[in-house]
Amino acid sequence: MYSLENLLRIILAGISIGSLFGLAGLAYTIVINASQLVNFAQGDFAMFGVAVCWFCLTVLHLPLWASISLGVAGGGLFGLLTHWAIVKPLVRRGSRPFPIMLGAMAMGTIAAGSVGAYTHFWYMPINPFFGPNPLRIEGFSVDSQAVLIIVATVVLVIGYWLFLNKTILGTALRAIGFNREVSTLLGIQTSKMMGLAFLASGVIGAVAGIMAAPLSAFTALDGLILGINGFIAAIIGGWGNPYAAVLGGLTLGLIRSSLTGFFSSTHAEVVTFLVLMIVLTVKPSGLFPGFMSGRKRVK
Amino acid sequence: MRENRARNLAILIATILVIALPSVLGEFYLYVIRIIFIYAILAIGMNIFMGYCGQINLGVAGFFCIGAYIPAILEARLGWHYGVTFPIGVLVALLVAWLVSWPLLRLRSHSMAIGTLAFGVAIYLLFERFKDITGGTDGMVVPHLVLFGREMGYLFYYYFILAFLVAALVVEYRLVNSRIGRAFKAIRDDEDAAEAMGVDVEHYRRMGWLLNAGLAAVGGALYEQQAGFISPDTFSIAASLQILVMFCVGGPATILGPVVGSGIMVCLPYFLIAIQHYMYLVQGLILFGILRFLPSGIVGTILDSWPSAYGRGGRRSSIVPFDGNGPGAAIRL
Amino acid sequence: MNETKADDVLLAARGVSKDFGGLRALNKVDISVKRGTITTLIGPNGAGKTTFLNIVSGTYQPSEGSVFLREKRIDGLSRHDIAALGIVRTFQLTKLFSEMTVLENVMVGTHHWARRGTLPRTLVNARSVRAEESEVRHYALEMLRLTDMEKLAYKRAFDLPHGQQRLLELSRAIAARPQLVLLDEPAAGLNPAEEDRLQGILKAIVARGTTIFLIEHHMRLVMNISDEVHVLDVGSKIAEGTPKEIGSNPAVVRAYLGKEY
Repeated sequence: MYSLENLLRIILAGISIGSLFGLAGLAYTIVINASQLVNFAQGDFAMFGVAVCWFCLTVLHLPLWASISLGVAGGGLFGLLTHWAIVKPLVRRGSRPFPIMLGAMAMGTIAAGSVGAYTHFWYMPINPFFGPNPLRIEGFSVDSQAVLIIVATVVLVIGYWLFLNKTILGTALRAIGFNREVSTLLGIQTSKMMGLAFLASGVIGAVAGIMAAPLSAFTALDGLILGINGFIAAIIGGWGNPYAAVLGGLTLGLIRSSLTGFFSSTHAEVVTFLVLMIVLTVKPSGLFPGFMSGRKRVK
Repeated sequence: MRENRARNLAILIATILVIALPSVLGEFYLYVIRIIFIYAILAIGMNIFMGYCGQINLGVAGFFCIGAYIPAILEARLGWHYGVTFPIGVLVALLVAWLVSWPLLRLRSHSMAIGTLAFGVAIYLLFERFKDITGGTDGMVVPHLVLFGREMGYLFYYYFILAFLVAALVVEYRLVNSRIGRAFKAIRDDEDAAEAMGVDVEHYRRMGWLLNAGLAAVGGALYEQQAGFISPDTFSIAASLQILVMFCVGGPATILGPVVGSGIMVCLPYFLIAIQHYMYLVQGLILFGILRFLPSGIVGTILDSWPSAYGRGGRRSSIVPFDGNGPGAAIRL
Repeated sequence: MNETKADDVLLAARGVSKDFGGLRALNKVDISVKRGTITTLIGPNGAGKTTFLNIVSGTYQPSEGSVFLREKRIDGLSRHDIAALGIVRTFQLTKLFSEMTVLENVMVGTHHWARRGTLPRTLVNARSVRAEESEVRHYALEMLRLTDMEKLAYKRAFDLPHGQQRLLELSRAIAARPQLVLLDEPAAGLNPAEEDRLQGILKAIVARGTTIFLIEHHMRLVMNISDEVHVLDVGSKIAEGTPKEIGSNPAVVRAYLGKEY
């Protein structure tokens, strides 16, 4: 059992599920930095994307690339819908943060409820993109889908960094995160920026979900679990820091996978929550709060 | 004074109705009403902690669970009497609540939401995993209470649960217009200002949390006996969220809101039994509708638009803690 | 008759410093407030005035030095304990209980001295609790009468115009029967008429025996009502004295870059 191959498989599984959580955490952080809000529908955005992709593949028999694109678009659109239907009106009313987050949760429930009504809450399996056969690298066989997730995560994170730092839109997004009032004075339309943030979070969530679905089929209710884990990843990694959130997700994924690999799997959730409680009590700012934040130590 | 007389008359009529109900309704309807009463008690606890004190508790089902399972286990496995197991169940829940209050109450807003949610899930998993003691997902049969040699039936449970609901309403009513109620509302509206006025915020938040947990545990203890059978499903995250929706729909920071909310959400599945698969979707839509269009909840909206409700100036005296256009709002466009 | 008798001092901050990371917001500040006076703290923006107030009220702990209420050391105590000892404050940006009525806001002020409403007694609706509730209600209405806001008693605090909100915050503070009231820019956002009214109210408060310590920028008000003025600049005290002395102090004038009132 303690073979190198097994260890690698566990690490790989941990990194791939960790990437899923990490991307969800990244998506949370985008919204948090743009609006100080936690998007409790995050996981359901991912699930919705998976549902659309599955529907295109299985019912409409569309080719893979089309289904994936439509799924990602679906996730993004649901993000926009959430912003338009509940976030914008409540923010304009001057609502406190919690009711807005509850509103997002309601949207997530609507997504899960719609999908579940159609699928009767059953699985929506998607086949691995490169076929069921594992890749052979250096004599080890690795799951092709897991590799794909990791590659996709790296691409997305780099893409996100480039967007934030090298484009005008991204800089505007960073600006409203720092100081909303001044941003409005500078002519940045904060409402549209928040919409963009929700759109981005929906897209990233959907991509993450669609990549991961072939590994473990989604049901309509899995959005909530993914959302919780992504949120925990963002907290454990470092609140407000998107790259730390990804690291947090990887940490969480590795912890889960080592437990599943070396012990029985049933206690993964309990351990996740214990880790969360410990981090919140001992180091509430997270494990990697300063990661890539560009902050120099104040002397 | 006219309002007082009208109010007392209304209370009298409601009391007569509720006491007379079993003579006109059959066992099934009384069962549903009992469930409404129990969830109303849970929603009252949420109303005190979230509605009046402005905090967040997404793990209330955890205390509901403890309050149900502890008595159930003691009755089924050890044969103890309900009169003993009931208070033990509530005390255990209060003890757990007190212990977790130390880490959990340091949190605010979204962290508090997740922290309490995590707690609720942890309790659920705990009771689900220890199959030997709790029967796990198969559930557990609970023997009915035997008083004076006779096994208690649905009529007894109806009045027994009703008595506790009335007690919970009285607790709520007395708290709201008291020094403690004002402390809660002050904490909800502005913690810093409350501290500056001498309100020990941590003490009162803990008090609200324990009241929430205690009422949930009472609900649990009532539930397990009247059902005769319990399983973890009743106490999942979904349950916490359902109770949350009840509290929102009925009307946050109103006295009768929790009862109305419970009534609506408990009866809903029965009306929609033909479209079972849509229940989840409907719940989401209801929550959305309330938050977007009726943030004061049903009772709250009625009171807001009633010019002379509660005397002077309508209910505009102590409203919706959810929509704060005042200094409490943290986000502006 | 300007003798400084030691037992006339109500509040004494000695050598108070406050560091935020690498930034020293307050540097060895000594300020004494005499009982029954109006003492004002002025200084350019960023001088550390609100930081000082926050230390006295218990929001911050000093990095160095200590604060005494008569002989009792109060730095390190919690905010609500300091309030219970008789030091009550208002805030720069009005912090009302916006969803509660005007009357309820003032009633919260009585929280620390009207304490018969414990949980058990409240739940059984004990006679002592009912009596105290009635007492507190009448007392709060009395407070509102003093500031001419009695008619607004049942209005939601949020619905009040800015000037009356500020006044409500002040009424709430007075209802706490404090020995010392700390006011953070009480005249901010008030028009001249409201400012005059405020002046009258502050003088009335002191006449009843309460001591006032305030931060202010409205120089007209400061010069009119202060018994003593302390000046902060970049975290250090640069002057203290009567309004007249301060007005002609070159260091003060320099600190404000020639601003006149």
